[in-house]
Amino acid sequence: MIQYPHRLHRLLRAVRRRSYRDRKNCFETTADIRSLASYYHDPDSVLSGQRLTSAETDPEADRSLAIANLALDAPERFLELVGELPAPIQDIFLQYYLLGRTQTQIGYLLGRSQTAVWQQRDIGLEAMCAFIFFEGPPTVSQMVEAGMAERTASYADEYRKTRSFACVAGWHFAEVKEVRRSLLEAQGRMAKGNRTQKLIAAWLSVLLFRAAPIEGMIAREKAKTKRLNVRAPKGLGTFVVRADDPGIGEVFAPGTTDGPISRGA
Amino acid sequence: MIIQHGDARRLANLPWAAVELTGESRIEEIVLHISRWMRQFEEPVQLLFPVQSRDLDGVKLLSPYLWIRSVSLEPLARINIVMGVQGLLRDHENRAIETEDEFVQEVIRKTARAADEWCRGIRVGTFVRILFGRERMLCGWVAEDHGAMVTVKIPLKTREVWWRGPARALLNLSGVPKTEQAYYYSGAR
Repeated sequence: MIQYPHRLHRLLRAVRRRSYRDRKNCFETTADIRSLASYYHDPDSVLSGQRLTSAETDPEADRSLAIANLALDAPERFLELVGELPAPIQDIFLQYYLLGRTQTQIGYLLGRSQTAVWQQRDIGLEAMCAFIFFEGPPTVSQMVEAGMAERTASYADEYRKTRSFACVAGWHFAEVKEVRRSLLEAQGRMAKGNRTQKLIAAWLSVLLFRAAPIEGMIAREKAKTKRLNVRAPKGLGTFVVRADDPGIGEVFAPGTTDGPISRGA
Repeated sequence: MIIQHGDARRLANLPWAAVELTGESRIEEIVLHISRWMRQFEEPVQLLFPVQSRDLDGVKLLSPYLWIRSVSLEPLARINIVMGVQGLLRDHENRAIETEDEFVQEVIRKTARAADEWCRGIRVGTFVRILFGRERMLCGWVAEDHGAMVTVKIPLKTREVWWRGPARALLNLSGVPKTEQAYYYSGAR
């Protein structure tokens, strides 16, 4: 029997404690959860360290594959669900799942880093799960049933329809700040709850995506929607290519899959 | 597509060897690895990447092998160190099988014809897919036609991308119904 290092056991226990997870950012937590899943799946191979074990290399651990399969099997349903997401996340989903483009290639077009693309894809995935679970955006009664205050649930529902905090605040004789704050607080609270509450939190995070009222942020985001002129490198599409051509990597675009992400690949 | 290193004129009429790959996926990446591996040789080397068609499904080859030649086939035997390459096609005595230049020249002609077919009939307004480079697989409409160079307008959800490049890097998708034309067209409907 393998003797697992004592320190590792302590770490695994700590990761499971919520207090530890709360102090970390979402990416570290995701990595922790996935590491634990790998550990429970095959503890000997994880702890012996014979090979790298990662959730990304284990298709069963990647929920994203379910969406990839949906895109292949039922593209119309996929497009319908994608249509519920904010435009920048739609661009990521359409390029990643339908065209098989890499996160780096997508990031270049959208003015985002690869990490940001990955993060936004993750947010979108969670929200898609919520749309599937609630068969569309959650209704006020579903949100209230999940434990959200009725007033906040109305804010969320009305903001979804109007996309304007000012309108929602006007209807409720409240301040814009209050509407915003209560939605953000509800999202944070729900994210720590049970599965249904987490799904509502995911939907809220997509709803509030890029809704920051800070002027600088909006200006930066606006710059990312300006027309982008791209000039293809010389020699693209030519029949005879020199092996020492510095632009040869552009011709083959390494890292690109041979099409949309294939099932179980 | 032919990828060559050094003075390829010295290779005229010399025989070729077939390069066997380990699988059918990520062929482009393997070809890129081979191209980089070829740079180490002092002698000229030529590699034929016989692409019949390109689309979202990846690359379809005209022949099951890639073809390579140099002044001597012996140094090319170590091509199996390249990731994704099984090695040169060999006979029962483990010697690389030499293929006559005449046969491979015919494959080259067919490959060149296939490459011309992708972009045939492209004009302003044609719905196309970009096949190469960082914007590969995106679809759009030809907005400007400058002969060999064209400008393609790609309306993403968040911004408009105007891509300027050679028409040979495009796939003509004018047969796609208008209702299905979108920058993310994948044909899976």
